[in-house]
Amino acid sequence: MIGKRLKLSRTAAGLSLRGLQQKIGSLVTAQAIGKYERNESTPGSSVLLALAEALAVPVDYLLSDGELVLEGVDFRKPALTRRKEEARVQALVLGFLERYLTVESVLGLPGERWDRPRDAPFPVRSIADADHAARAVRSHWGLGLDPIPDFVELLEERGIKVLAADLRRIGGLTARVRRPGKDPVPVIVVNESEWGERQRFTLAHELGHLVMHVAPAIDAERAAHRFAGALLMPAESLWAAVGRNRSSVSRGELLELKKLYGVSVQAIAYRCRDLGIFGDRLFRTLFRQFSKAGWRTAPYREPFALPPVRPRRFERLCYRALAEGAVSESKAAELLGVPVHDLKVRMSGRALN
Amino acid sequence: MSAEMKVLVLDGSAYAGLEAASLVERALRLRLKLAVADVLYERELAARGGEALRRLGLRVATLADVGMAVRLHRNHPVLSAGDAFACALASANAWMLVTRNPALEAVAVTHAVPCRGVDWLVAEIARREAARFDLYTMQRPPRVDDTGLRGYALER
Repeated sequence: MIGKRLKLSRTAAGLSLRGLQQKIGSLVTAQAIGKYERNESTPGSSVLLALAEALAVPVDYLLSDGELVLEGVDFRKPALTRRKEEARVQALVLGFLERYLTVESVLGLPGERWDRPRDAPFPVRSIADADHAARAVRSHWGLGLDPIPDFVELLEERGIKVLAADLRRIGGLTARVRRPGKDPVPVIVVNESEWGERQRFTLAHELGHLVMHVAPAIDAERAAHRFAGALLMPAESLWAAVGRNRSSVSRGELLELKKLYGVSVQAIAYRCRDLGIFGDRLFRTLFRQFSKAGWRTAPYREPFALPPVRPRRFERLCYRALAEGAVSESKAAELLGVPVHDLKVRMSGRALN
Repeated sequence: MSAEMKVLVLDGSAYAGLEAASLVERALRLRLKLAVADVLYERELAARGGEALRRLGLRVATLADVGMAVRLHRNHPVLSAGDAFACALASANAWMLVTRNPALEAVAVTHAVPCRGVDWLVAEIARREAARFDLYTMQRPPRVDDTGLRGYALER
């Protein structure tokens, strides 16, 4: 009955059946846990609590029917090669999406379809096609040429779920969550520990993966990078701000551009090179300076670093569901992953972090 | 079955309601048999004075099989795990569920689980406190004042 989720959680924790038995103080045997995973028997509540604690997952996560299936995750990414990492990310995303879809469902929101741009996925047969894809997205979403102030909010308004989570060594990933008989839900996960400007670029990069169909001869990661630069810094806007051709640029000017577009100085340099504003020589000189300043190595802290993004729509929906009486306090607290007492503190506005 | 006979299973909303009115301890001191699901206890009470309540008599009840709770949680997305376990506990032991959550009450009715609201429990607490007062005064040695009436009647 709880088999699917139990097995996924155990794999995510990197535990064998015997290892899990030991971790719950041999409350039940490894054989019994195997039976739970094969849905041949069901544990009692005290064993369930012990399992959830040992696997560091909420009890409600184990209770789910596991109907959601994660697909389209690029598990070729270096940090995701291990099965344990793969399972950990799957568990994270599935748990989040399940709660997100629950609150949308109880509020009767049409959150099932995302606002996919017309003609997407856009074919990318050369790297420059990524620019056209970015332009089409801006046009479909009515963004004009202005900088995008709150990229997370934009994506969430368009029906893409955004999760900031501990992804260890990777910046972000895109996935689709499929439910029986319904359209898949796109989700983008960003590393919660990165700077805001890097996260914004990651979000745009992952959006690129969602809306482009990249030809096998083209490096999909490079195309997604090009898309991200083009989406966050439209050519016309950048030309107006920087000019068409530059032989030198000061650090101060780059930092002002960073404030304007909410991207890293390095992303600006790449975009200016893509558009032919910076030649190779200036580009190489800049990157030598960036390396010397330590901006190209962890923790990648540039001046005027932006605070990490924080997706807020899900939390807002939980508060709304509670205010409208669509869920009880205990359900709202469960959705938000906090005790009821903490929820009350948040609702009272005493903790506004 | 009367409230004296039954164990009363509190869901999260009922517990929070009683706690807000400082009635949990009073209910336990009145020997009302209050229980919460272990799932609720671990999530909400263990770190917030749960042990003291256990010493006063709060029961932390376990389910031998979580099957019904799992089904309730899956079939009724508005129920939390704590809600589902409280209902399953009441059903498995023929106890009475106490809740302030209309969605849970509706599910309990569907599954023929006896269910009451917190208002009823507050009234029960008041009734018991009144009865205890009566008992106390009635047990005092009768005295006769100059009206000839017994002290109990005068004190009332």
